[in-house]
Amino acid sequence: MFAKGPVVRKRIIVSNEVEFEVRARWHFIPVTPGNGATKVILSVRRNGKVAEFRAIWAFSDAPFQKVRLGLREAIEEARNEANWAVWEFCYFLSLALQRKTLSLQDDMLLHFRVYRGMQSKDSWTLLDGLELAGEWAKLVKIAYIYIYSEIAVQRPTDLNDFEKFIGEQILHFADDKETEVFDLRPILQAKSLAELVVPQTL
Amino acid sequence: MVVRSKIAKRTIIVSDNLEMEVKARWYRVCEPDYDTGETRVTLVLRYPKKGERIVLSAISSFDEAPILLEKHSEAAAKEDADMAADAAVGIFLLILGLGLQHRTGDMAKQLLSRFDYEVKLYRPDPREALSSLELASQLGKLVRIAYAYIHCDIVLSHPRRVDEIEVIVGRRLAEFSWDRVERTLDLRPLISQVSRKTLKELAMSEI
Repeated sequence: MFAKGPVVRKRIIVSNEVEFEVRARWHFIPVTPGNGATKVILSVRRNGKVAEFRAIWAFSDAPFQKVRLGLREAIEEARNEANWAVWEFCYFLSLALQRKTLSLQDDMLLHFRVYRGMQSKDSWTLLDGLELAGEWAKLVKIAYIYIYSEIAVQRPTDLNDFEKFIGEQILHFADDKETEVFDLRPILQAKSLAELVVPQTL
Repeated sequence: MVVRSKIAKRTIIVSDNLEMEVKARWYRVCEPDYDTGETRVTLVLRYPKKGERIVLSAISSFDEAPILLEKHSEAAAKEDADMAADAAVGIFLLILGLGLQHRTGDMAKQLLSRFDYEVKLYRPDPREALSSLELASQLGKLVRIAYAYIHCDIVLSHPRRVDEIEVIVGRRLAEFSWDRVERTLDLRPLISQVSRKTLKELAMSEI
């Protein structure tokens, strides 16, 4: 039986002491509405100690349905689901770092169908969505706080500019399927933001 | 010094098998630089026949008023802390009532405004908005559990008239939430009475 998809992971090195890993996997769960859910785990490693936080990104039975076409297609579909979850996590983190709070809220409440519950007068959908959105917000907040604290310590004078720049870089990192690790240390050790933005050849 | 308030408590008897108790209490939270306060709501699900119970808890609001009042009068501070606890129980029941009435917009507004979510959206720091959403979702989880039990009881008793009965029970809960005297609401007679009447009769009786 096709019970789990492959794990998709991305790693962000915040400093010499702190790094975190985001990993996602599609699971077959017969009791959920969509017969499957993509779960995201955020592992924070700090001075060798690891803390894990979990949230559900989406319910989907697409990988399960694809089993009819073949196991390879089903695995590929499950990988796509996991890739989507990791991309979205990086996207929300990038929105938070760019301080796009309204977009952060809208995208989160839209995805978890809180707005749909409000429109369709369905209390269950609203409360269920709100609970999932809260769990997801917790994950984003934890990752954001670690990055924010590191920038605040290293770059107290141009905190906002660095935050915005790192937010943009995290979005590029999310788009790049080949790269698995994003290191913040060289960015924070640069002399100025201009050094990072203007190409060295100029 | 006011450390905590009295426990505010209300009970809802859903069926012969299930009782819900909503409790709240205001607590002083000592931070290194200053003191603040929070009100916690606890939902206790009791199964009298089985002799089991489930306890769930969440923060309902942050309230510094008792600490500020303490400078003037300790008695007033204690009273304010008790009022904060009583209000938290009332708000919980009101949100539950709104959920049963399918007034989802009002319900979402009530839940999110507990933690000033709308205000924090316009502040530059996303941490505040994310924290508010997290706290609102934890309170929403308690409401969802209470809602699910009442909904299931109505579905099992009257599968054909779920929406109508939910609205009536929701209205009764909203009235109960503002009632300062009544401490227990028994839904059993309400549901059985509703089942005997037609929708027209119910509408007429409300007029």
